[in-house]
Amino acid sequence: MIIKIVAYIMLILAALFLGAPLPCRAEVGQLSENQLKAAYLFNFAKFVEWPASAFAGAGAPLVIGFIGKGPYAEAHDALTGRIAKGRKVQVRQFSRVEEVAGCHILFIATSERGRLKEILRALPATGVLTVSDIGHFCNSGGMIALVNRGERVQFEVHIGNAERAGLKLSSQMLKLALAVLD
Amino acid sequence: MPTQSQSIMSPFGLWVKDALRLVCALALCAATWPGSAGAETLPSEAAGESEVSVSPAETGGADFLALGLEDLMNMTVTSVSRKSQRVSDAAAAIFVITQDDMRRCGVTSIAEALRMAPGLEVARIDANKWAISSRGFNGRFASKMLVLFDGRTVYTPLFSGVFWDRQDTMLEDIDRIEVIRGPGAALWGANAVNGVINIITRSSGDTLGTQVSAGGGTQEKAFGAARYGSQLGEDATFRLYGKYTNRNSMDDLSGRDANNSWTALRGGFRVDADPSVQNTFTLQGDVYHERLHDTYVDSVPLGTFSHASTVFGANLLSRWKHSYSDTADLDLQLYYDRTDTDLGIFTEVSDTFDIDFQNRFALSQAQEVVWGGGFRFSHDSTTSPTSDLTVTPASQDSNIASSFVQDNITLIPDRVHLILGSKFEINSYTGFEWQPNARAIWTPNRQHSVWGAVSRAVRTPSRGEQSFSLYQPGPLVPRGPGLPPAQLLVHLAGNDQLQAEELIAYELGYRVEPTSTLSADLALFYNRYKKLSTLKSGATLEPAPQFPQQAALPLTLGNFGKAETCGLELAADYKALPWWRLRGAYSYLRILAIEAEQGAIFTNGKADSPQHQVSLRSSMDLAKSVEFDLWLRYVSALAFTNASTTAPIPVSSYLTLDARVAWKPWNRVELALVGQNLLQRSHQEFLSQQIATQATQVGRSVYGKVTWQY
Repeated sequence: MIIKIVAYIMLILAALFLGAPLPCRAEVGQLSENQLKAAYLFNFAKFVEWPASAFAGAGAPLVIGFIGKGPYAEAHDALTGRIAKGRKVQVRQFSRVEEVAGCHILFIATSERGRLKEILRALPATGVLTVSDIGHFCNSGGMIALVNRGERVQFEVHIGNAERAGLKLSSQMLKLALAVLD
Repeated sequence: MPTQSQSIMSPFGLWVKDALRLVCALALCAATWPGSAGAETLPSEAAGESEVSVSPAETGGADFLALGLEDLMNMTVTSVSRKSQRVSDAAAAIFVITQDDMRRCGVTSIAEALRMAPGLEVARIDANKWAISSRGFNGRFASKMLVLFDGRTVYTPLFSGVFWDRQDTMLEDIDRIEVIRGPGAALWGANAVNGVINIITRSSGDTLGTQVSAGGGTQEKAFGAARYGSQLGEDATFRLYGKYTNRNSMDDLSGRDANNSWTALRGGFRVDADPSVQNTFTLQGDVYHERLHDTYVDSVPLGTFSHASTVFGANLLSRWKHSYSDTADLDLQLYYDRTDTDLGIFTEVSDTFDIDFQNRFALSQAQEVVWGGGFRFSHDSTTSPTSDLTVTPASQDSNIASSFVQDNITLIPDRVHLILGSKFEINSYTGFEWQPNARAIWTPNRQHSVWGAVSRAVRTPSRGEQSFSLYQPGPLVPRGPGLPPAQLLVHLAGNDQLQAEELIAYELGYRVEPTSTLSADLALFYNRYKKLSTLKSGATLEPAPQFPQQAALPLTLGNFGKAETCGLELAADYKALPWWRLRGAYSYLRILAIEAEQGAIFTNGKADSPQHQVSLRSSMDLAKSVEFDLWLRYVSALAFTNASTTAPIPVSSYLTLDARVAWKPWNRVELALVGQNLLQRSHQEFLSQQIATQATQVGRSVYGKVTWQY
């Protein structure tokens, strides 16, 4: 009797296996962590205002840079060519602090935890939005920290650091942030 | 000579094999399904984002970028992509139980949560005792697994076993439990023969705020816990917790109360500090007091008697981690652990001091080396209020010095890794032991990986095994006409010449992730054990000094045993629908040969672990704030042998179901109702014959819980 129940359960599973359309990786509700982070960066590009001096001209691209170790190929392919705030998005990858130049958003990977202060010092004083998932990023001088909350990824904002860099964060973004630090 | 070959499986066992073949075939079909075709239609851009224009030519299927901030905040990351990235762990049979898994299954203790892992046998002996092991040789004091709680070793040095009632904390503060079957990567101690269970709690920075929970039910009579976490200055966070549990007694095999209820009161703290980006520091401690009711049976001379055992424990642990760079760091850990146990037949006070360090650095572009060492000092003192169990000397110190080294060699970047390592130990029982292992992992692409390992592991004898003396009732011997038969005793004795048990394990594993919603993990093993400690009977009866007028049959421990086991473990994770996730685990264990030389006997070695185990979990997110979870488990039969009469004592197989419904009426409050062991009125899971207590049955139960967080 009980064996029959288990048999039915397994048959249902088998049917689901065959019948359910095997979804594309990007189906809503099933993102990989890297896709989620890329999506956040794209959103931040839409919700942050840069000073006019940050762009060479009206047609200048918005550059998202990545520094440190990580699987960025996917983010690179997804973000390149998208349009945010009327500008085309370009993606660059840096391995050394000295190379970082000309980007508007810089994502710092956890591999750079030891060199964080160095990286933040080397950036231009204005015009670069720093985003990272390194622990206590905002306390160390960062602007937007991505934090894991259980199975979700959310973000904290340090408004002081952002304003000092001449960046204006939309109130919509501040409302959704887990914490707004100063 | 191999004895029974255990080739006759129950009909259910055969059926499970066929079903597995079907599922594997389907999984292979899924694996060869064309990858993401990007053929989905793009959702239209959200209103108000008019400056973002998306042309199909530009997107190429990356529609996740169209999600708004609010959606991203609520999205759960598929856990298949959050598995441990450490290569050395990937080259092993590892299963991670997450905080979410534990919450949704409705388990109320760490021991019960371990049932989710493939390859672990978890049997509840009674309300306050469990027998947990991996890949065979289960028992209340199963000695072949290493259990670590935030880096602190928790087996009792006296018997090399784990008292699972004491391994507890506020379950919501556990980040994950890593279960690694097979000889632990050479990083851990000489008891990681069949596996390592690593319980890791969350940093206090992740548990800020207040959380209070309380509830009650039939088996979990009443429980309550509270935790408060907050910032401590600029760089540090802390939490404090307190927890009370009161558990009901389970019935004996004839349905009468078997007097094994227990209560526990526990509290603790944890401080985490990041004084600089390169340094992290943790200090944590717990203190607990338990009152356990036990009903001992077959005790000499008292027969059956009840006792209220008390346990007091305290521990303090500090850990400092310094990161030189991304590829080099240093870990230093110190802890102190004290337990004071009064089991009625035996009392023990034990103190342990341990210091460990670990250094990781890049030896070259292609090699990462981890090495370290540690020293553990423990002191215990025991008394034996009844005369049946004694340990000689009553009080003793022991020292263990150990070191390890592991080299992770990248043969082909991102494709092939070879990991060579070894652990070395000098202990006060058997002197020098070494445990080398070699692992290799091949990752042809993101979706598949294959790993293999050959390891040698060693289990050093515990202080108890070296020097214990236990009297148990033995066979009845007829004396002659008109006289009642004489009750012989059985005298089990340790042996201070005992050597360490040895294992050579061969393992193979395969992981596949055909899509982002499906993953499967298969591990195969073949173990050869030597020098297993078993009992051998002496030639003649001897007198029993504590029990005049009774003679005893001497049974002495020695390294007389050999065994060969093999098996497989399969875990699968399938997100059938965005709101419905299925997880299954299957374990198969086969004892190919088990023998004891020179007339020694294996009292329970043949069937103290089940041949088949199946676990199937269904997690559904209904509506916006309702969770519905079902957990179906099957464990096949066990067969014990009565030590005195050598009569077989079977424990039949069981199929059971747990269910949990949880509802969050407001953001801060969760109400949950959990039913456990619902399919049968009651079932027996184990029989403990070491320091034997009344055999009990696990019954159907239900409890409700309210959790409030702010």
